[in-house]
Amino acid sequence: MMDDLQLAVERMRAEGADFCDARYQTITTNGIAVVDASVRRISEDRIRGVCLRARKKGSWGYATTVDASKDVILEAAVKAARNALAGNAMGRPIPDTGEAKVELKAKVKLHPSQVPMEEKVQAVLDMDRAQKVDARIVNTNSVLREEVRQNSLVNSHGRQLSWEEVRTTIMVQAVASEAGRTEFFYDIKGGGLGYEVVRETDLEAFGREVGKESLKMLAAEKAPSGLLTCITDPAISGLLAHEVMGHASEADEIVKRRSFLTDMVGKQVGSPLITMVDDGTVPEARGSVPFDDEGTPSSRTVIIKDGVYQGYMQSLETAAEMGVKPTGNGRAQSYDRRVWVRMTNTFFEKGDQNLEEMIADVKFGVLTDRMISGMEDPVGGGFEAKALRGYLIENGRVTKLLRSFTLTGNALEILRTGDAVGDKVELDGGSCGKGIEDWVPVSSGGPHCRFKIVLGGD
Amino acid sequence: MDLERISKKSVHKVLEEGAKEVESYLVRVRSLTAYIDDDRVKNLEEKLDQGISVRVLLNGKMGQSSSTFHTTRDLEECGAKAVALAKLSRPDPYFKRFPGFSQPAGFVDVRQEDAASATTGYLKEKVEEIVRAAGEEVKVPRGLLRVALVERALANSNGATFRELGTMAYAHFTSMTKGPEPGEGCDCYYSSGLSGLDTQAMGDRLRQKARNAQGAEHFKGKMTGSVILPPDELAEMLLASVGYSLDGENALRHRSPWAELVNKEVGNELVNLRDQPWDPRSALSGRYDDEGTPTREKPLVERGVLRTLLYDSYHAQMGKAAATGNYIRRDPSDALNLYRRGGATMPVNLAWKPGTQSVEDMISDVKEGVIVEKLAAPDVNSVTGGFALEVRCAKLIRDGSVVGHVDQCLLVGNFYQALKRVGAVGNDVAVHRNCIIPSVRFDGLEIVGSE
Repeated sequence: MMDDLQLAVERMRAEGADFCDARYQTITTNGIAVVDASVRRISEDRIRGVCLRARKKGSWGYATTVDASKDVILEAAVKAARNALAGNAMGRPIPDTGEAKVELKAKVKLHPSQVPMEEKVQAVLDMDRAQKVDARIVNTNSVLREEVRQNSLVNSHGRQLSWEEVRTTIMVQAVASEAGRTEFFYDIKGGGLGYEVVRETDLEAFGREVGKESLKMLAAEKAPSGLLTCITDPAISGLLAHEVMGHASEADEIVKRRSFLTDMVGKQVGSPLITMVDDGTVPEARGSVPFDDEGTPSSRTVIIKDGVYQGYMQSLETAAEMGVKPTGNGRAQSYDRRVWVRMTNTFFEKGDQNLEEMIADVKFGVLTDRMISGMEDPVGGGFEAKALRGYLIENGRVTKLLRSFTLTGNALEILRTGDAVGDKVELDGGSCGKGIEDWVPVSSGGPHCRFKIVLGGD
Repeated sequence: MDLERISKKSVHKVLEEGAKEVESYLVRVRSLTAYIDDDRVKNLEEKLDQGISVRVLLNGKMGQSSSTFHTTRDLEECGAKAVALAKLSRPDPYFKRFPGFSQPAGFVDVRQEDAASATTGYLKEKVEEIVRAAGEEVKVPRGLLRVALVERALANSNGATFRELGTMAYAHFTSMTKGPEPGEGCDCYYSSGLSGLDTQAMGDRLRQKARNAQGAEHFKGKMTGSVILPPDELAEMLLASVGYSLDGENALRHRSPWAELVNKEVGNELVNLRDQPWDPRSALSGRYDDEGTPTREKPLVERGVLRTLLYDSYHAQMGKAAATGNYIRRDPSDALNLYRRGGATMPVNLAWKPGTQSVEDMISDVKEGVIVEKLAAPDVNSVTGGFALEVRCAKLIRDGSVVGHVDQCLLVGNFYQALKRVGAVGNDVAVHRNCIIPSVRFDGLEIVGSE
């Protein structure tokens, strides 16, 4: 295959591309879903295809195909180059990425291919049955999902790379109902891991705790509304890092001056307690990759240091435009999607306070617990996150459980109010879209952080 | 390669492997996209995709596999994998068979020719028209126009077979004012073809929305009043709430608030919802759903009364009901990898019967409220109906007139409760995703300012 990809690169160059690359990718996903203690789905999904990408001045042309025969690849290479030549965007040349020849296997303790499917099915059944701790649990859901990506890339600067990525996730969700009220609770574990994430989890306890917590949700009260002291848990801290500061630090948004963080390098954007990074090298994290989808090694990018804004995440193209080095953030959902500047693992660094100390200082406020969703706003810098639940804090003590609520406000104003940062970082894995498509595996997180944030309880 | 013939051959092959029930679903797609980046044509793409999904039942146990394919070997491996997985599963308590047809279906062609025959060059012209129409006052940092020709074929071991050729067209553009503290606008287009894409009107809306957002003032305090939701924002909220509650699976699993409400009131008399699966305006329209059940027009909510829930073949058997033709694997904005997707049960096209009032008429009846222009994420808690949504831009209404634009506030309420307080339904029907709906006014919702 590498020879065919090399030929495709040569064909795109011959057609007039300034820069080009050819990727071949296989993504195999195994999934087991159990609902109400019955196996609902056991499946394998495999996609395999080639992406030809050519650049002329500042325009890209793409062509993809699932037919990996040489003639079809070469035909697609011509289409990609001609599509690039038809564009009219301006841009600086991509600097030489340097030659390299690398083959890497994923560093996981237990590769999914080494574990019998029977064991996997039983594991998911076990964590599902454990959720049924009470007759008020009306629905249980459990999922195991394993993904193995095999990537090959050749570019016009002489890079020939092959690498593997492995990700495993287990998820449980229980629905409780009583007297006409229905609530749910969930938990997720996983990352850039193999089956060890399952073997090393007490599956019975994992399911049981989610069942118990969903029952507690039946008594949760409406959250207060207005500007409040809010201790964000690692998941919501991560949404603030990822959705607002992260998306707005993707350099393609800077190049076109769409980000509210344009021209902010060197400026104070948050409390001196705040340091934030994007780091694609974090061991076992869901967003970690050895190379991005342009063949650049992943790296650690400091975005905020002690409250001062430091810089951006880069692809090959944006790095060329800004005259800096690429950071390994040119990523694509799969071979048939385009490469953009994307995050990897984005999080706030730890501080020095424990959660108890942070709560003790709060006269009236809220502690969040888990996220439902968040939304980017690179133009306006607005923050919106939905918490699954939280706790009311009164006079330094947690007093009540609160049901789902929304946090909102201007991100920079929120960051400036940060007055306490916890001493333990946790990462929460998920998938990130840009706009409304192009989903890539990422994680986000941080420690507990204390801010002033506007809340709205529903 | 003839997809219908391949799908039948695949079924036959998998039956030979020992499966008792087999379904083979194949998709072939040609997808073209033109991307705008900062007013310029940045990417032109042509993507060719084809894949297969096989579901089998063997000794009461189900297995499923999907794969891209370009050789017979790919098809055989996919079928063999589904059988192998079924052997490792557990007996399913409900599912006994895939749908059968009373009559052979044959070939259905619902494609729109303008989308089917479009080229990347044609898309380039269209996106450039939109940018020009937006004018010098704003720029278009991001935009895309996509068309796809989608051929899907299905065969199962009960004799069901069909092949359908359709198209989708989708555009999504953002705009922003130039200079400091910019305002952002956004506009979308969903359809089965390009004939409804008015590039000048789209450019005009992008310019106006960005200007409105830039001029918005932070909302202060709290207000309980009327909220007019335009079709695009309302569609997302409807799909998250009503779409979820109509799904028979959620009723059977005791997690739908509408589980026990068939033939009971779920809204007031202005709530009239239908499934219109053959509407030519929508990209999802078709004569068959994605497991081969014929689609049909049907009332969902009539004058506020819930008339039916929707079932795929699995949950129809679980609930001892009939499959309703609502198992959907497709997406109105993206045609790639359709065979990979587990289907969802939803209205093929969720239509809200329009009223007679224009949006201006609706505004004139409002004493105090807003007409939403952009929400950060129009999401609703499906189980409870609760929402608290950041308003990125809304027109503030007092005494029947728009008095300005506001932002930085939360729209708070419960959507299931809001359906009982619908105050007016507009006549401005638009397609957004698979919803064909007008603007709707909800009374008694709360707006909470950030200051």
